[in-house]
Amino acid sequence: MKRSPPRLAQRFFSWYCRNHLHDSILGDLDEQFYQNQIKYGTRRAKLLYWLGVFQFINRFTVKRGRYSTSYSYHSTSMIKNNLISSLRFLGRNKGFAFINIFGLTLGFTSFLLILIFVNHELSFDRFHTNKEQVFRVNFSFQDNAGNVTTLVNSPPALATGIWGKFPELEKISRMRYAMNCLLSNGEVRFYEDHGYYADSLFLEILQFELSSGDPNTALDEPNSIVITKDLALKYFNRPDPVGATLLFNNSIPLKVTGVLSPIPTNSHLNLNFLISFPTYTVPEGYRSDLTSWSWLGFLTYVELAPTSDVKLFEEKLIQHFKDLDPENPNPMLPAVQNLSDIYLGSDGMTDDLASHIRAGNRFSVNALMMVAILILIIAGFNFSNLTNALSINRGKSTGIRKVLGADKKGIIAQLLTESLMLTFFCLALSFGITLLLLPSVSQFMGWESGPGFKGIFNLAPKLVMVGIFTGILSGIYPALTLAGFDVIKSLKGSLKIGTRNPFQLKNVLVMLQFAISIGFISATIIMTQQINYLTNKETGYEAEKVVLIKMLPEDISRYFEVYKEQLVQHTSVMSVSRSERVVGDPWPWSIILRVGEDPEKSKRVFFNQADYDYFETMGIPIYSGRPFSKEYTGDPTRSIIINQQAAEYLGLDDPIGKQVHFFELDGPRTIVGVAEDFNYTSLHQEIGPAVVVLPFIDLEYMYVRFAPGNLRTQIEILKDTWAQVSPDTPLAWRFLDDNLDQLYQSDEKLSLVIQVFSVLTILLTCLGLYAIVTFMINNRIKEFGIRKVLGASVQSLYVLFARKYIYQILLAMVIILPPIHYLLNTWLEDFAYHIQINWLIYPLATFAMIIMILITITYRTLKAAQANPTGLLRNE
Amino acid sequence: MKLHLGEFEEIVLLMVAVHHDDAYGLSITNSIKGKLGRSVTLSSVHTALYRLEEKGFLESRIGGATNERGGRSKRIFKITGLGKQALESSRQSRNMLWDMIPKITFEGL
Repeated sequence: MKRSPPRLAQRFFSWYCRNHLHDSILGDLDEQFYQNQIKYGTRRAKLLYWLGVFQFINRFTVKRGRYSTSYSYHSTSMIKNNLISSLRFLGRNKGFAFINIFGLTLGFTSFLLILIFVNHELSFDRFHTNKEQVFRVNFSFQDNAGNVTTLVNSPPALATGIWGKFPELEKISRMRYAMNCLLSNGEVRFYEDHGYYADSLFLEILQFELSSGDPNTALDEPNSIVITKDLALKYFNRPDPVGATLLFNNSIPLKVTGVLSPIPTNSHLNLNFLISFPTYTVPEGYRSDLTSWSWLGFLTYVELAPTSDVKLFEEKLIQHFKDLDPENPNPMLPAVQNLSDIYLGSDGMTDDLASHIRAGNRFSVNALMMVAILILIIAGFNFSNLTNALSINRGKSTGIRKVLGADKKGIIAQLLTESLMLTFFCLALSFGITLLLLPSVSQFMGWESGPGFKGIFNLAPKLVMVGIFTGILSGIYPALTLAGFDVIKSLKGSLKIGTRNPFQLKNVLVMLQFAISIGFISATIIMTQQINYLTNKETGYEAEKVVLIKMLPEDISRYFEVYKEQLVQHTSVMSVSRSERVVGDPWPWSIILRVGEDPEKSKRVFFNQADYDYFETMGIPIYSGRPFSKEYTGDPTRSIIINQQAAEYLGLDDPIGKQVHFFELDGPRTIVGVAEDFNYTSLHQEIGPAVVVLPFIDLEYMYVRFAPGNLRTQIEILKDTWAQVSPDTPLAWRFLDDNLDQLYQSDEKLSLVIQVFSVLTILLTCLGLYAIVTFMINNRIKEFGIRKVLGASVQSLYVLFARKYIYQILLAMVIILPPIHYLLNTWLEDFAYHIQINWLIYPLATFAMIIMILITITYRTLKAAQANPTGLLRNE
Repeated sequence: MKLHLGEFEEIVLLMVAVHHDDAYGLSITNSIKGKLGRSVTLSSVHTALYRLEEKGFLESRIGGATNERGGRSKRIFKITGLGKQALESSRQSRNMLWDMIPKITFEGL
């Protein structure tokens, strides 16, 4: 079938090529099109036609300006003239120039700051040159009840077991979080975290820079340690202590084999030190060893050959795990995750080691980016509306320009020059402001070294684009309006802008601003409510007045009884206990099964190992039964305390005295108590079934609950006890509720950022409206006078004016409601415990908007309405 | 007078001569593709033609229109005396260089 060439392409060609060559080229293109159609088919021919049209843009074809001989709007003198007349005009309307510049600068500054943040979030781990080839192996596990747990962790046998088995696997390294670590060099002794045991290839896979030492060999030998420059200065007071020795946990001397340059803040691994993996020994009491394929207590990173198929590698890994235990219907399944995806893509995965891996939130990155764009839009609308409103004032100068020979394009060029000039002025201004604000913003956001100035300058090309875009988009509408004015009318001064058409672009823009502002107000209210809800929600335990002490497990085991004995003698100490995990950190999980039931019914359960008095110290009420007690000799190995969720989960109406298998399904334990439900992790997750047993390994956290009273003297008690009992052991303590506050830090930050920006948005909207109303009134001042002469009251004039905006706001609410409701719900759904959105919030936000708008316009309107009509009508 | 020709220009100029009375953008493009097996775009041929016209090696007139062309006329190119000189000088310098190659150079290649 014969089709004709694409019409649009033809028109485009005719638009740029309008000279003696036009017909012959287009003829050739058409002829070629019909030939191609036969050869390749219509679709390909059309594509080639389009390509051809674009390829023909060159110096022979592009048309020249028709006035090139007389004058051009691009000539320097014309641009100079445009600039001068723009500056004069702005000088005459200082107030509006100020509002324009202020608004746009505010918009740009917000945009810039958010862009820096978003850039930082998106830049995570991108500094590794081999990022395309590096993956972390995650595991997911499904229990018989269908609960799926996805962990970032992997078993220790993985690295050694698959090494050499897959051709595409070039390097592999496992890591173990150094949960307890006391480093010392003589008298300098500190507890350190953010440390890992790592295999020798680690620094070749994740190529963190070493300021001294060889990355290829630094982790080869047992008892080697690589430390950051900060630690080097802390312990050795010099930046390059390679070869020196650090004593690890009072017993193992480690040789410093390398010094890490400061780890970039945009790395998901936040390292302080790395110890060579052979140094690691499985602590006593653990039921696994390094040959285990099921102990998910490590991190594994792999580097694949450059061209390998990742999906295929993943499938082979899965197959490998299925082959290990073909009988198991629910094997652990590995999944590989690319390095650059780890930071933002690990939502919903747990880290069994609670090892402080940095994790971002894709939702808040997107939300902030949207906020930035919305603010820019509002600022742009303001700019556009203001310039448009002002255009009535320059009707005469435009008329004169036209009489003197300027055509439409000349006028448009002049106005666009003006808006671009203003835009770039504001951009430069906001650039300066951002540089000033950046240090405090970085601090607030928790970027230790900050993206710095380099980050900003990298954004420069993007910003120039944004500037040009904003300048042209916001300048084009007023420019077109002005250029279209009737010359005679504009010279006579009888020009009227603003018809009665409610769908005029200006009205639509104002309404969109209202809509965005209402959206921001609603979001602010709901996010604040949710954060308040979280911080006030009953967690099921009392974190206040509990001091958390982290120590080496050996030390706790050695001294705990003495500490406890000494501490409880003070009246202000209520109770003392210890546990493996703190509430708030992810708890480990294991398997639970009622005695006598089919092993296939075993289920996943979260657990903690805790000592006597744990429930009393944490303030968790026992619902029925009893807490652990020394009076019962069977408690350490044969008793278990479960929470109410777990009782329900196991289907036990009367759990006390019932027996369960727990942890690798060994020896039956008797349920001696049921604790009331408490939130052992953050409120992002629901309370699940959890159990507590007396410890079978050395524990690392100790708790002291104090009675109400002076904190300072209480801490003194703690220090004195340490000095008496174990003068060699440093004391590191903090309040449990401080520890918990960290859980909601990122939510609170997002909420605060939204609050700040919603205030800015409302400010911008009101500012823009104020300016527009001023101009509308100036424009209709005669109408007001006539209305008053004919008997209109001040109130009726006010209502006449305000009514329009109230209608617009109501319409804006209807428009914004579905998207904002959807977005807020998405945010709330991330929390297991969240408020229900009250529908009244939206009318409330709208009402707030109406009040603010009325405040904005009342002064101007009332002044006009109260003025003496003779004064208004006299000047003709 | 500059008689220098670029390699592609030379081919286009020769094609114009080959086509005699039917030398226009598309016919030359198709011949280069068909006879020489060289992939070439319509626009680059056109550009070469205009450049050659600018240099004075070609002249053009408006030619016949056909239906496939949407009734648009062709621009028919014809080689000028200067164009012929340019081709000849290019051929001469080439021949001269060929003659200058010692026989031994190509032996055994």
